[in-house]
Amino acid sequence: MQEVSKLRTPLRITLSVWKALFLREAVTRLSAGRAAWLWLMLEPLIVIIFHLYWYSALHVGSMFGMDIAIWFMLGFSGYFLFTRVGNQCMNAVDANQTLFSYQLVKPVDTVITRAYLETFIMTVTVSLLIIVVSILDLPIKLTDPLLAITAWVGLATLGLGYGLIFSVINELIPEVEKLLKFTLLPLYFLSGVLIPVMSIPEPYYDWLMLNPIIHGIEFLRLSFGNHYIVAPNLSLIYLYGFSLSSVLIGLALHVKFATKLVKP
Amino acid sequence: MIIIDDIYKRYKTKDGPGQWILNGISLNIPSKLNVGIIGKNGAGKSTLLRLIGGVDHPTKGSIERKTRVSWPMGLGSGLQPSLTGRQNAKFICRIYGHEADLVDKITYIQDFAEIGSAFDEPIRTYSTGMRSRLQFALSLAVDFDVYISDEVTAAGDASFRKKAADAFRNLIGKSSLIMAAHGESTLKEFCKSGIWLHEGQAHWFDDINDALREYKKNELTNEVNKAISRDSQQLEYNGLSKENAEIFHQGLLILNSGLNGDPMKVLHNEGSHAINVAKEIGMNLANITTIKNLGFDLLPNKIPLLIKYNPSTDQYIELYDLNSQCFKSILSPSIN
Repeated sequence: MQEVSKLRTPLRITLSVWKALFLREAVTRLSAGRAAWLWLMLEPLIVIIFHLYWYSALHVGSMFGMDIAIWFMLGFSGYFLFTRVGNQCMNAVDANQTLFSYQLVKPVDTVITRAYLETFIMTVTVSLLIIVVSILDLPIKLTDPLLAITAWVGLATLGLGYGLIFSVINELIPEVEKLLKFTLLPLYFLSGVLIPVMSIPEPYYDWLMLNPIIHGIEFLRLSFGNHYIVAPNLSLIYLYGFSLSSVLIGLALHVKFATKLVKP
Repeated sequence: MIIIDDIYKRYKTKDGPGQWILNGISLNIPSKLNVGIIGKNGAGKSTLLRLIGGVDHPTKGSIERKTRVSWPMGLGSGLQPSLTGRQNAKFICRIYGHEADLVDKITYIQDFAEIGSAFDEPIRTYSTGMRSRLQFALSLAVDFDVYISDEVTAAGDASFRKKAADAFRNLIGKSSLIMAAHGESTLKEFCKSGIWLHEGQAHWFDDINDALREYKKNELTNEVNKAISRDSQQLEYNGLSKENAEIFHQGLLILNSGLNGDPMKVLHNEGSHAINVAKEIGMNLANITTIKNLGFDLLPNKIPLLIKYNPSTDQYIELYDLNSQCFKSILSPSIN
């Protein structure tokens, strides 16, 4: 019994593992190359500027009551949050195989910390982007901060769920990763980032609304504009129901296949 | 206490599941007991250590650890190549709950590893020796109840090996060791009990010396059996007549290869036939007398003896008594 009493509790161990992993991942991400942190932030900025140029060539000024620049920026940020969290999480197990030499580090820990770190990086990036945009005097105003946070967290959770599920499936069936690249490409166009969902006719509109990313993105836009005409049938419950159940499925997969994820 | 309950382990290969490496092993390893794991290459020593250390999981069965068990030391794995030695050290101290005394621990690791300014260089620039030095220092810095060591005393140069062995001696009393090593002296020095891994099974011995003896006896018996099954061409090459090749099958064997690769003759003696054949091939019988003078009777009937004979020096190296329960080595202390 004496032996047991000096052992740390599982919760304390997990928290210290998460903290250590977070700091380690942050160092790796931010020191990956020369001014890696700058590129992390420039990447979404460059994509947004490129698309804005494209839109201005088409003389589209506003989108359902919202300035086109803001409309696109928010949509893209939301989508980018999902894919970045998702992809980082998906590759977490593979990238951290060396760490499983320490029995305290479980594959699921690496996925969760990556989601946390990536959300953190994206939050800082997008906050800076919003500051830049308001300095440039574009009409941006956060009207509903709570809704913004809810939508933002919902999208990040969606990325985590996706990452948790596919971090397991990719390890078990490596071919899936190649297929995913094909399927993710149209998702960009089906998430209301470039093309407004409102412009999609029935019955395709209803099908499109099955995509939970759209819900997150539209709520994010709504929180930044009083006059934004929002697509009907939007539901936070759907967004969170989808993302939380995918997280639960992902966690269950990690429990079930925990031993299969560690390569000898 | 580490409770190993009926574990099985096999690895995936290109053609599906491989051979069972561990085939139903159950062991209770008590606390505060230093244990050596013995077995030939590929017997599953490292696999068992990895399973105990939690690096890998058994295919079937379970391992319960009620103490803080280290990762297998001396492997040099578990270090992120792109990060510096310091960053890796910080990470490991953090996950093992040394947040409060992080600075002390890092200083200790830096001092012990003696890798100089390379401590702040990425791990990928390290040599193998530097890696294992760092990892050895890391595992000593973290407090464990049981340290798992896979050939750790073989890492680094002579002075580091000495330092590592000294550090191990200091651990005794505070923590216990489970180790695999090829050096018999290392095992005898550090371990009290032994586990002999053989054909997927584990055999527990309260005394490490018993384990070593059993292991060597088995190795030697295998060596003899292998030699016996070698084809008759080899015998003819050695100048044996067909008649004597038959005698060989009755338990008399002279061949041209030794246990260590150098040219040797192994003589499997069953009574006076040995002497006859030895005469026929012109062996110097004086050496047999020498061995007899050492106190072992070569000629009693039905007691097979094995002699390693080195033709280049015309000397017998070792004498093993296979039939009695003990293993006797006359001139050399180990078969290694």
